[in-house]
Amino acid sequence: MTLADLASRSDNALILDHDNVAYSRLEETADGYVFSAGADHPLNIIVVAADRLEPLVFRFRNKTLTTLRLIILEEAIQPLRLAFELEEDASVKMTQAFLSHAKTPLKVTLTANLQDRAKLRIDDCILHEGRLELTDIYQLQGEGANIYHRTLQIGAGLDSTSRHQAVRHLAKSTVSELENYLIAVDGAKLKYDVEGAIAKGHSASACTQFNRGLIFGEHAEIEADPKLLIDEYDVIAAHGAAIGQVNEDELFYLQSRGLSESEAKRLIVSGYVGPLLDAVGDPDIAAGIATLIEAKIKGAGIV
Amino acid sequence: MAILEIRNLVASIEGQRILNGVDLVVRGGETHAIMGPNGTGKSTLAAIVMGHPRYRIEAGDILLDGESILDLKVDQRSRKGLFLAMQNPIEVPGVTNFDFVKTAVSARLQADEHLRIGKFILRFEAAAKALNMGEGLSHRFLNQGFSGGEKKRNEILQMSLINPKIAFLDEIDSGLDVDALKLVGEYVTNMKSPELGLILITHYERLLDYLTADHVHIMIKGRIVKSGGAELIRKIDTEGYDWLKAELGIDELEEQKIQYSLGSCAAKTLSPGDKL
Repeated sequence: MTLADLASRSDNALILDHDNVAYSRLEETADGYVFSAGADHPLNIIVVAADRLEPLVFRFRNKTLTTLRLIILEEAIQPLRLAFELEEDASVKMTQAFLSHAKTPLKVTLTANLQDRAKLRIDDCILHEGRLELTDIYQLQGEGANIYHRTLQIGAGLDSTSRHQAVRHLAKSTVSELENYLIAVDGAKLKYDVEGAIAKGHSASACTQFNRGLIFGEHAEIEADPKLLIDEYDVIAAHGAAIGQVNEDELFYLQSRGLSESEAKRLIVSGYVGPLLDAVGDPDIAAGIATLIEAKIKGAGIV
Repeated sequence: MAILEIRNLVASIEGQRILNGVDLVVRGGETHAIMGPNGTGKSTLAAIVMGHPRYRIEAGDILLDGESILDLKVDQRSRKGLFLAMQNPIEVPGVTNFDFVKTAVSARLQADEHLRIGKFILRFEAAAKALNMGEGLSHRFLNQGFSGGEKKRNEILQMSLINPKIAFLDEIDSGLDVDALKLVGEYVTNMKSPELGLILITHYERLLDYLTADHVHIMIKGRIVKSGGAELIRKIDTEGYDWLKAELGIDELEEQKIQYSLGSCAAKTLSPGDKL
């Protein structure tokens, strides 16, 4: 059974195949797909192939609690645009899996606007083959709004990715945490441009960015460019990047406990992968993704 | 009973000699302490015995149970029974402490053996409790966010579960407050057995208040220059190392190179007698 089959077996799946949207429960309205408060209703969004000019809009009404699983399987003929509107106290947890392969660049833009106390958590797993251009714009418009976005990307062969992530703190007491765990194998090139901005007057906010990258092979590249634009004193802001090959001291430590070099590297990689697989939720889908990850990191000589 | 023999070991890093002929024999059941001033090669000795690839062996040999281990990789030496509790354990985000130790213990099993996970969990939890590591230890990522003392205690926890034959404890006392030092000292003392040889590397005698050493060695300039018993610890505690340098005719001035900066673009090492 393919991942598409696994994801679409859910009785609550939205499938975008070219410009055709099939959704088993809700109809698209002028406000987009609207989620209301009530019980959690997990939704699998499967993009088989995106050929749609209008953005897919998801609106989460007050106090909605929703789990989404977005799986991009094939390619985007048109840039795929997703827009999330989180109203007060809405809470959305989303796992994104980019399992696509395309001859032409795949372009995906996600824009999310968060109102008072809204929470958005995103766990990304990017295994795309080919060229990928991603843009994430998060606007924390309401007091107490909170975004946490963690990415695992594994690039191999001639994969290349250019990603721009921007968080705009536009209210007091807003919190953003962006964590990127990147693995580049062979000749993969991953470029992350991460920006956080806290405007004046939006005190008691916190904006943190963390980028960690592992490079396997002489031609692989990871570039992370974290930026903080802070115009307010009473805030917490931090960024960091730790990128490079597995270093000698790390290997020495793990090997001194009896792990072979490949087991040690594998363990370090598992530290990147494990938390993401835990976040997927569905064990069958997680197992399918794990198999794809194994194939992707073959070139690192640790499988 | 295990036996580690270090014979006339000479080693260097990037052309600079660090060990100048170290001889040491450690048997199961013995506890040795290696003391000495900063930068005299104590930690380097432990790293070299463990097989750190950064160092080059110029001469001599290291034998475990009568067999040379010079050609063995780090992990092979570990599986043979060597252990090094490190000064600065690394952090591995995303890998839980429990999974790491389980992997390390599993790496020692023969092909037809398998880890009895239930029993192992009980051992892990008992060790964590005895070392006052808190209930959540197994789910915390390896050394990430650990205090200096927690990292040291975690090294001892790993040692107790891996069950080595010969263990170096490299400055296991640094970062530990008095209570934790006592706890660790007593815990390791309880681990003592004829199957375990211990080599404690330390600057200070305070660890040795809680963990008795049978043999004490003083290392200066890459050599063990004096060996003895507990009386050496007391003498160092009260008099430092100067008496020993004088007794052995060690050129003290050479030990005290002064680093100074010439603005932002040059630096020089002063030798005794140079003018500033």
